[in-house]
Amino acid sequence: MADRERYQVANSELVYDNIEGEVILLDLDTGTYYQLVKNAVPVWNWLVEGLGVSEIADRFAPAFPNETPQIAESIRQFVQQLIAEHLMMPLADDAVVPAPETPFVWSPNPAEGFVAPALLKYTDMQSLLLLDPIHDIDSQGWPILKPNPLVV
Amino acid sequence: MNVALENGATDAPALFFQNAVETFARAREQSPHYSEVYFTFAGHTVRLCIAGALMSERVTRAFGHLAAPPSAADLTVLVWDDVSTGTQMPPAPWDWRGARLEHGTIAGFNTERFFTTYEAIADVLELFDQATQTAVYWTRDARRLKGNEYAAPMRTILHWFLQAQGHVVLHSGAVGSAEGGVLLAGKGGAGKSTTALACLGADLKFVADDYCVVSPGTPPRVHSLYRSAKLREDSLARLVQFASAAAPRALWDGDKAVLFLDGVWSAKVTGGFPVVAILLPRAHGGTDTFLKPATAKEGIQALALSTLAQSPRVSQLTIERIQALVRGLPCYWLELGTETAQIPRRVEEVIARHQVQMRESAPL
Repeated sequence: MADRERYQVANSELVYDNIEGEVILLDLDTGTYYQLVKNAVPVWNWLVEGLGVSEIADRFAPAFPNETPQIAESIRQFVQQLIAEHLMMPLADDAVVPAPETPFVWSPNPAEGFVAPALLKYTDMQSLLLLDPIHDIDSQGWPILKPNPLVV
Repeated sequence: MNVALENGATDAPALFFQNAVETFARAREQSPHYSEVYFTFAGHTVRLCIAGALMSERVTRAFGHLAAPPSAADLTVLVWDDVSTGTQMPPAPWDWRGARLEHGTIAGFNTERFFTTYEAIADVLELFDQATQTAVYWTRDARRLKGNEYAAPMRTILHWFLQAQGHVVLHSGAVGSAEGGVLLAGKGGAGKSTTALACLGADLKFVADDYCVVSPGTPPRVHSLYRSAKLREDSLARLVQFASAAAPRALWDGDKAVLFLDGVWSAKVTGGFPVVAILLPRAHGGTDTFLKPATAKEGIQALALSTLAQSPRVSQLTIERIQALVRGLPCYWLELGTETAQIPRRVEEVIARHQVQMRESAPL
C-alpha cells in the first residue's frame, strides 16, 4: 500500500452515515453492521473524500506532533481492515473524486493522546465498544452525580 | 414480589436482579405513595408497579394515551427511586472502570436471560429478566429525570421486550389516521419532530415523534410508545401553538423543549395505524415543501442507521425486518420548506395516494 493511494467505498450495498459523532455502516447484503468512533470517524470521512493515508496523517500531526509515525501506521492498518471487510477498495490513480459539498470538519482531543482508529463489527447481539471508565464512585457503590442545579 | 430463579442460581446477573427486586419490595413498603398502572404497547399489556409520587409522574406522563384497565400483564416493570422511598439500591457488583459498553450495557451482566444497562447521564438503571418477563427501572432521585428520559422513559426495557415479541422498535416519527399513515425517518435534526407536529394542524393524528414500534405485516402497523415530542427553541417559535404543551424549561433536553400532547392535545394522539409509506424529512432552505421519490437504499439508510445508533442489542433479525419493511413501502424525500402550513398537505397527498393502492391490492 502506497501512502498516496486513495480509496473508495467498495460495496454498492453499503449504507453509512455520520450520526451523533459516530459513523454507522450497514451492509445491506449481509446485514452486518459496523461502528466507527473517535479517530476512526475522521479517517473514514477523509478516505471517502479521496484523501490518502499520508494526507490524513498530516491532518492529525498538528494535534499529535510526537506520534506521527504511529499515526500513519495505524491508519494503514485501519485501511487494511476496511479492505478486508470489503468496505473500501483502492481508487485508480487517475480517478477524480468530486470535492465534497460540505468537507468533514473534525476537532481533535490532544489530551487523550492519539487513539488508533478501529473498526467495530457487530455480530448478533454482541456489544463491543467500551465506554469511558467511571472512576468517581460514591460510598454506596454508584457513580458520583454532578450537582444538578435544575433538579425540580 | 418474588422472582423465581432457578434453584441454586448463583450467577452474578441473577443475584443482582434478585437484590434489586428485594430493594423494590422495601421501597414499596416504605413509600407513602404506591400505584399499579397498566398500559398497552403494541397489543401487549405492561404493568408498572411504582413507588414514589414524583417517579409516577415522571415515568407515566408520556404513556397516558396508552392507559389500560388492569389485566394479566405480559411484562411487569418495578419502578422507584431511592430519595422519595428512603431506600438504597445495593452497590453495583461490577467494576465501573471497565464495565460499561455502548448504550450503557454492563459487561458480564447480559446473558440469554438477564439484560442490564446503566445510563450515566440520567442515572437510570434498567434490568430485564426474560424468563419472568419482569423488569426494573431505577434511579437515585426522581427529580433528576428530565429531558429525553422524561420524554421517552424506559426505552431500553421496551426495546428488549418488544423486539423479543417480534416487533421492531424504530427511531422514527409517525403521523396519519386510522386508515393509514407514514413513518418519518431520519437522524436527529432531520425534521421529524417539526413534521409530526406541523401535521397536527390538519386532519392527521400523532403516533410518534422520535420512537415507535412497527409490527411486520401486510400492511405493517405502527404503534405509539410516547405522546411526547421535542423541539428546538427556534422550531417551537415557528410552531407557537405548542408552547402550552411544553414542560417547564428545567425539564427540557438542553435547548430542546419537551412537549406532552395531553390535555387539549389528547384528541390529536392515536395508538397506531397501518403504514402506507415512509417519508424522509430534510430541510432544503427554501419556502415550499415538496416530495421527491427516494430509493429503498436511502430509506434504509435513514431508518436503519439512526435506529442502530440509538438501540442496544439490535439483532440481525431486526435489521432484516427493517430492510423488509422499507423495501415493501414507497419512500419519499419530504423536502421541507419554511412555510410549515404546506407540510401536512404533502403528507396527506402521500397517504391518499397510497391508501388507494392499498385498498386496490387488498384481497377480496
